[in-house]
Amino acid sequence: MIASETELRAMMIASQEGNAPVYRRLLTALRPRLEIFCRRRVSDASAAEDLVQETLMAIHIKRDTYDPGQPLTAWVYGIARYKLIDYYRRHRKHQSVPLDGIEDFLGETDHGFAAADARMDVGRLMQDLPAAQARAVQLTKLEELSVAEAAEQTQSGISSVKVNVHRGLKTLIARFQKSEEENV
Amino acid sequence: MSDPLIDSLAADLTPVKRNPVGRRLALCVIAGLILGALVFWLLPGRMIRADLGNAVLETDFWLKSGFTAALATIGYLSLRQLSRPGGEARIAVRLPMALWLALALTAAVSLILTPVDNWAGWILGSTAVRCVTYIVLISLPIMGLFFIAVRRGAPTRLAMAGWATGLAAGGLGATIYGLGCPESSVGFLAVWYALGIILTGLIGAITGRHLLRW
Repeated sequence: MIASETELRAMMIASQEGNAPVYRRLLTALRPRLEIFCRRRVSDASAAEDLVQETLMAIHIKRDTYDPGQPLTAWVYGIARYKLIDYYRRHRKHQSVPLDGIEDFLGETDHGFAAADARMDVGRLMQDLPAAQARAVQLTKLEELSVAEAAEQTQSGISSVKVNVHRGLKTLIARFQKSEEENV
Repeated sequence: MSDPLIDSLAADLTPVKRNPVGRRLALCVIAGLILGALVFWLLPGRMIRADLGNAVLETDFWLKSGFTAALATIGYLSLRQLSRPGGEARIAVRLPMALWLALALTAAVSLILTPVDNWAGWILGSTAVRCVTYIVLISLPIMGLFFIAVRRGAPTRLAMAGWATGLAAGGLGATIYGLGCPESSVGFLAVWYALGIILTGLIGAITGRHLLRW
């Protein structure tokens, strides 16, 4: 079972109060998501595992920085991305790390981390986006084409695809948050 | 299935204090004001304006203090977000820019009303270089204090967090300096005070990328 953002957040709040059994469950629930996050970005399996452990430790050490008013997934992601950038820096690999956490958050939805929030029906949320934006998001995020490929398919410019993806995601996120609040 | 790492972390769990990030930052503002005042006191050629008693009755004085204090507040509020993982603060860049634009517009209007012969004096004042240097010098130690507090949180956008730190420290430093600075024209404020604070913010952004790592 994949716990939802709401459940994870409740677990974190209990953990901050010192509830060890809940804390263990929380870390156990986060681990597979972090594994997915790291394995997708670091090809070396043992390095990915190191990264997962470092992230878990950072979550532990910095657990007092979580603000219960904020989404837990964003907080966990913030730490994971920070550790990832740190890893890239140490290994002097000039790979690009997506800095926009929000796109990451949605992109990840299909694969696990926030599949948690599977109540979100991407299709339903997308259906009343403007057609060009919906198409751009569909191609680049769901079908995982590159921006250039998407531009070719839609016979438009690269920058207009980027703009459409950005605007589309922004709208989706706003709706997603709204539907989350309604569900809570 | 048992995971040794998770076991050991769970065994180590203790309750945390409520909102330590926010408390450390609030403490920084108070300590920063004291430290800044002390530095200002120690800098050569310090002056408290002799007419401070009268100045507090003037709009210009409050405009100046209001502008610098507002920038400090924006920096501080941004830091409350940026000191945490995943924290974002869109206001950290846009709001200072909007404030500055409003100020620059006001300055432009007053400039039109000022005779051309007086323009140079009105903008340059007589203490321009001193103003910028002093604001930066007073702000840097305050920025050091904030860096310690931010770093004990867990910033994940280091350059942005550094910028916000510089903004908070620069705003506080400029507010302290403003108590002793005889200049009060809007033009002077829009150019030299703003420059001092922006410089501090940029120093924060550049050094923050290294100093804020945890």
